[in-house]
Amino acid sequence: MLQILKSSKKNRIFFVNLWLVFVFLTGWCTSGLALDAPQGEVVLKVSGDIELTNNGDEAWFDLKMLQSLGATEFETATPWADEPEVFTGVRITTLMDSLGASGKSFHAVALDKYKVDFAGIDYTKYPAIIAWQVNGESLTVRTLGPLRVIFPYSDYPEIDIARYHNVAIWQLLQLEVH
Amino acid sequence: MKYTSLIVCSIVAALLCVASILFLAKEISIASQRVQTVGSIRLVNFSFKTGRNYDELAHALIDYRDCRITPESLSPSTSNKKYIEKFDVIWSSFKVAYRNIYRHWSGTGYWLDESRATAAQELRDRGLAFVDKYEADMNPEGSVSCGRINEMLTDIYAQKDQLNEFAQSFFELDNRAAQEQQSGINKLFTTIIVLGLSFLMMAAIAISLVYKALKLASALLEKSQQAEQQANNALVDLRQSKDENTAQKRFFAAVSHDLRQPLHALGLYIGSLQRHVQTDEAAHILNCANLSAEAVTELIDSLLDLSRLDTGLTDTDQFRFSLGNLLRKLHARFLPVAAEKGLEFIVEADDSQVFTDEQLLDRMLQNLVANAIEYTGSGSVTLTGKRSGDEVLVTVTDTGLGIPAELHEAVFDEFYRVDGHSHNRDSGLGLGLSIVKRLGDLLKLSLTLESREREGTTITISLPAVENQPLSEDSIQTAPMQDTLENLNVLVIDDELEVRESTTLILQSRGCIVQAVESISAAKKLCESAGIADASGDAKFEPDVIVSDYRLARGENGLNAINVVRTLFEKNIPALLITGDTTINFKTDTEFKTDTEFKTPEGLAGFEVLYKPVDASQLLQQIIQMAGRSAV
Repeated sequence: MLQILKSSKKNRIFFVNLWLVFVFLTGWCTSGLALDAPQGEVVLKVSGDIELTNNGDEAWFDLKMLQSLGATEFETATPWADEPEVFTGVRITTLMDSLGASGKSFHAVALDKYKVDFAGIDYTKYPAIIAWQVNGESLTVRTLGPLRVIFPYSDYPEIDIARYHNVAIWQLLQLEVH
Repeated sequence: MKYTSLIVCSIVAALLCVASILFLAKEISIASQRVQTVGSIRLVNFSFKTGRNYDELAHALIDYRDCRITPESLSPSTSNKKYIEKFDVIWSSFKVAYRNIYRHWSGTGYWLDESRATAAQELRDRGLAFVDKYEADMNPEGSVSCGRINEMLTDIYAQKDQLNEFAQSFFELDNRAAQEQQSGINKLFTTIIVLGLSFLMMAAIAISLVYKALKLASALLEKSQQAEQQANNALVDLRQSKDENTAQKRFFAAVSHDLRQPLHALGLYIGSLQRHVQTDEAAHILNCANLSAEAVTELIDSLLDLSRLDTGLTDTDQFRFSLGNLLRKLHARFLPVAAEKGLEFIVEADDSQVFTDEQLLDRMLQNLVANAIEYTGSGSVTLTGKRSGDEVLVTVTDTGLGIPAELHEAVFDEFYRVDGHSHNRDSGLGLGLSIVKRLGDLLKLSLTLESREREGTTITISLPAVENQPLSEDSIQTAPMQDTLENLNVLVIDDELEVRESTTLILQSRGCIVQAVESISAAKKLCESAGIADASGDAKFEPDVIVSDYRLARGENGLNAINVVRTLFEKNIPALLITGDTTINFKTDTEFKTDTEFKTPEGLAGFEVLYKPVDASQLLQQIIQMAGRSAV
């Protein structure tokens, strides 16, 4: 083998090519395999600059997949309710991390095509979640669900302002990462 | 330097002002934009969003309806689910979100005024009515008839139209409000700009004013300094000229004094000689000598009068007196002179009284009458004194040569005489009229001269008239005089031998006992020895009158001498001071007062003064007066 390796230039090129093919295959398999296809009804579609996908260029989630990323819960008052409410959902940072899009910004689009830009919104420092439950009850379209972005306004008085209220989008359907 | 910094400060202030105005303007502009947009965007957004949601519901319903007609194109259940979802979005808009939005607006104090709130409420009510009406049809398991779908579509389009209408009305309302705000802000903006500009203008004006004021002030300062300098120069000039004038007068006085000294002696010698003359011829010659001496004395007197008038040493002693008396005295005095020349001398006077210095007026009239007699070859000299209205006019009229009109002013100058008469034997130096003029000025009397050549001259003195009043006895000089000087002790102090001797001779000729000394120490010695002599039984010498020259040798003066003698005898001995120095006025100059302050039990002692040259009769008369007074 050593003789062959040493004597033949063609052999060396062959090995390099083999290595390249291996790397390529590994990369393809990782991207394709990391995210399962949604089993239930699709509640969230993530598109754009993400590393993991499960439907073409997009990553589709059903409620179960989102819940499997890990749930966070906090109580906060909002301008839209008279009393403070308990919201349950997944942190946006957790979702972005799971898609290999840590720290990136995005547009959020609602069921009725309402669209907000998260540019300049710090969802890491102020841990915003994509909630599916309010006060223990699952959200429906009629209760501004099935998904809804919410910030812990009560914990961080400095974000209890119009700019952060505007990005608390309800009836969330889609994220466009950029 | 000061106003440079002032200007810099003003500029900085102005720049600051401009900067703050710009900043304010920018802030207002931003605020106005925000006010303009923030209100309408929310409602218009809501309207558009809801309108779009209605559209989507409509599409979903049409899809569903079409699916029922052609079931193969899409599964009915999917279509059903889709329109239910769209309906749910609208439902949530009105049932949940709208309530929240409304609350949010009012809660944050946005622009929802009454009319807008009403409109928004109406919008919501219609939306709620829509969702309530069709809620029952949104059953995932059920189906909706074609007719029901068409009905729903009609309602949806109606809703959409209404939404648009509302959106538009909100937009208009909002726009109007925004416009009002905008116009208000514009006004504010304009005001600020105007204010800023006016402030800048004011600042500029203030700066220029300050600058001008400072410039003016410095110019004024410069001018005042110049003026001060000029005044100083003028003052220096004046002082110099005054000094020159004074020096001239002092010189004049000194000359007069030196001339008087020998004349004084001459007069006294001639006076004493008269008793020793035996022959008529000698008596005639002596008489002539005496006349000449008197003429010279008269001239020197005139000169001294002038000098005294110029040096301001002449005092005026004004009182009320009868003019007639004065004129009659003059008549008595000059009648012989006039008669000698073959002239008539007429005096006419009423009973007017005048208030002035009698002696000085007398001097004026003496000069005028003497002058008139001198310049009149034939005819008469008339002296009148009459009241005329508010004035008393004293005129001296002659029938002489007259004075040409062009010379009327000049005759009052010193040493001026009308041409052609310089050969006249008795003509003086031409001092008479200038003395008259000066005395007139001193007494504030006006002098007028009328004259025609070869016809005569009239000189008028006008005095202010006074009411006639009875005159006191004092003014009539009837002081008793001790005509005899027998055994009167007289102490003569003079440093010049000639004067001592002549004075002694004169006084002895009248029976005086005279002791003459040359100095204070000699006087002292004499008086002391007199005291000792008295003790030893000899005839004592205690002076009844002291006659002293003012200027003695070795810096001593007559006043000190008088003082010393008076002190020795502790008695207020009458004293006569004789001096040739006309610049000294012993009665008013305070420096001499201290010298004479010898206090006797009767009070402060006085003394009499005679100016040289003093002739024998003058001296004797004065001494008689003094002795008489002391005797009283």
